[in-house]
Amino acid sequence: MSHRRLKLTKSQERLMRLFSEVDDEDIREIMADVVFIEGKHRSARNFPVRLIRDAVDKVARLQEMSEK
Amino acid sequence: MHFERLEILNFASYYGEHSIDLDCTSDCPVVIVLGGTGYGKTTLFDAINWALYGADYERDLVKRRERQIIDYVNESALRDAEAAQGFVEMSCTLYFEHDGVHYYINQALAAQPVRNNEGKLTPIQTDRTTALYEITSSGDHKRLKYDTIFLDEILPNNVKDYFLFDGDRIYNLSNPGASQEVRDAIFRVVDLELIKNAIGHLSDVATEHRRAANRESTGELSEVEEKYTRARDRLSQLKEEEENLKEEERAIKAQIEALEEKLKNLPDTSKLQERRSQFIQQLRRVETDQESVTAEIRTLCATVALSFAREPVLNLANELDSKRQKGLIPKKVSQSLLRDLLELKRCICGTEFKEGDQIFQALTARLEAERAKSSGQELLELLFQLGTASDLVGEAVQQLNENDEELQRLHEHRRELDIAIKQIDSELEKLPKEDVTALTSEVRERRNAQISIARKLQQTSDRIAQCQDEIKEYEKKREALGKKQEKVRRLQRRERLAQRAADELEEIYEAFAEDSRQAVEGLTKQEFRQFVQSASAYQVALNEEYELQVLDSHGNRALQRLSMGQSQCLSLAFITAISRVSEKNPPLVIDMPFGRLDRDVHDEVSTRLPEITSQLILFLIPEIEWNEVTAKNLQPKASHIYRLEFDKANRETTITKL
Repeated sequence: MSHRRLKLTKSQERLMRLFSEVDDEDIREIMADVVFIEGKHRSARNFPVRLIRDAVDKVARLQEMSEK
Repeated sequence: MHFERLEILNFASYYGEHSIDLDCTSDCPVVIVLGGTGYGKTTLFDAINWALYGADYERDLVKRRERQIIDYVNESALRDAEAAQGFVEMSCTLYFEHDGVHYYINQALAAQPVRNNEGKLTPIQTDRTTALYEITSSGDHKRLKYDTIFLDEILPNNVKDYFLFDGDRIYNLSNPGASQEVRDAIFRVVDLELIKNAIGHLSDVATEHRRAANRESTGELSEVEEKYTRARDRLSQLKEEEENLKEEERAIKAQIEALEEKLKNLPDTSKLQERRSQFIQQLRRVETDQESVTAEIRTLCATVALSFAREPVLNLANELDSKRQKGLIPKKVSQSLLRDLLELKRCICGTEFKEGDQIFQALTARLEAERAKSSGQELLELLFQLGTASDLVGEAVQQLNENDEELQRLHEHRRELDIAIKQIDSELEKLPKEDVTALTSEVRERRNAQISIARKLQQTSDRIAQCQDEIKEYEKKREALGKKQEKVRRLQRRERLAQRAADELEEIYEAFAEDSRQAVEGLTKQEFRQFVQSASAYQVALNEEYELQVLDSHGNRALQRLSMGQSQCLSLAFITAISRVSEKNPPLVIDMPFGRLDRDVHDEVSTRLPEITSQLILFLIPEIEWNEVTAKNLQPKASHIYRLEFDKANRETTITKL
């Protein structure tokens, strides 16, 4: 099941189009990461909020590095 | 996803091992399982669900049917285990293919037989396992880590209800007031829930960073951070209020719609009531007639009771008559004439006589003799009386027969009137109890509530805008001041990123929800036309409140004008639409699809169902669901047809392939 790349459904394509309309690339990246994490852990009893924090932190660090 | 085979062991009424081939071709995508009520159809449906969803389905069983999975352990197997002083194993294994890879999932439990206080044999669970295997191209069985993530990619648990369902439950979707369920179904299949969760988690992270920045900040920045935090909290609160108000507004709109629909369809009961009064009056008359005929019968019965003596009486009369004719009964001699002669003291020949003389004595003696003969006269009188009595009894018998017939007729009439009144009562019971005045007043109340909510929504919306303006001001200030406090600046950056991502996702969520609603609406329209071609005059709509509507050519609501069957097809059209929008194309497993479906649409539905999915597994009741019409349409499309046989004595089910 995870051996191959899954084809996007039409609704996923529509969602991708809506994502692509967000101008800020950093925000887009956070959103994509977070939605992926949500999908991966949708049935988890204790959702790992830490991963969401990390996704934000990763982008923030990159911004900070580029500013330096 | 494509189901290939189901294997069950000691599962409910299935004693021992049973296997059922579910594989089918694209030309014949249907698998049919026939079985009467209580034969084990739903058990097979449960077996598929348990195999796929394990513990999640066990929770469903408790919630929906108040049953524990341990209750499914087969009784005979449990007795065997007791006799052998061992354990019983129960399992369900589902073989399936997904994206060209073959898998099987096995759910198993072991139980120990124990006698409870009442001596009843019960299973106590001792072991529970779940195993997922991939069958590799070389034929090896590779064990995979089972968790629901696997199925979430294929058929998430919260979506499965729209693909594995029982006929009863699903038809509710087209009922008024089902908009919440319709909305949930769309949100689940297009993963809007994920986005909603993502918004929530990002907002939580933003809040954490905001509070940390507030704690870490000093001086003027601290003040700004404090105000900013408060403004953000207030904004969240206002948004929550706005959401609740919108929810309330939706509910009130649905209530108004349902009430208006009721009002529109409120039947005029006066005609029924009038007919009922007429019947009641007739019934009263019949009851009176019955009473009078019964009283008459009672009287007649006393006379008729003598009918047993009628024959001997007639015989006696005939006997007397014959004696009279023979002169055995002397003819009547006028006693009055003799008395007159004695009084006048003159004989009939003109001879006068005196009291005590010979003539007087002779006439007196004759009178005495006549008197002595009077018994014969009485017999003659009796003869006539007997004749009259016999006639009276005969007439009474005839009258009694006539009255009996009349009573029967009245009884029959009364029965007919009773039935007619009951029918009217039943018609009246089916009709809404509410009267127009009460309903109109309720609609008015709801409208007032709607206006009040709209006002509150406007106020909340204004406050949100005001709050957002304040936040923008604070953002500028905190950014400027934050440059001087590095740690706070870092926290501010993370808060900003998380909050902006959450806000952007919120907008995407709204747009995507609307987009998905339109997509489902379009497909439901198409599917409804396919399911019910006879209803082509109607247009299906899924409005912004997620209500499935049917409109006539003038745009008026016409859901109530659809037959029950057509309305049920609307639900099926919606299910098909969300299945197509999800593009998951899983097998469609329906337990008793035609059970509640009107026979007028059996033909259309059984024709269309095999076309909407690549694998259709149907559990049907013979005769009721598997009838001439459905068999004609489904049989040519079926790869397998199974019949369940149930041994009532041993409470065991066997599967026979037809």
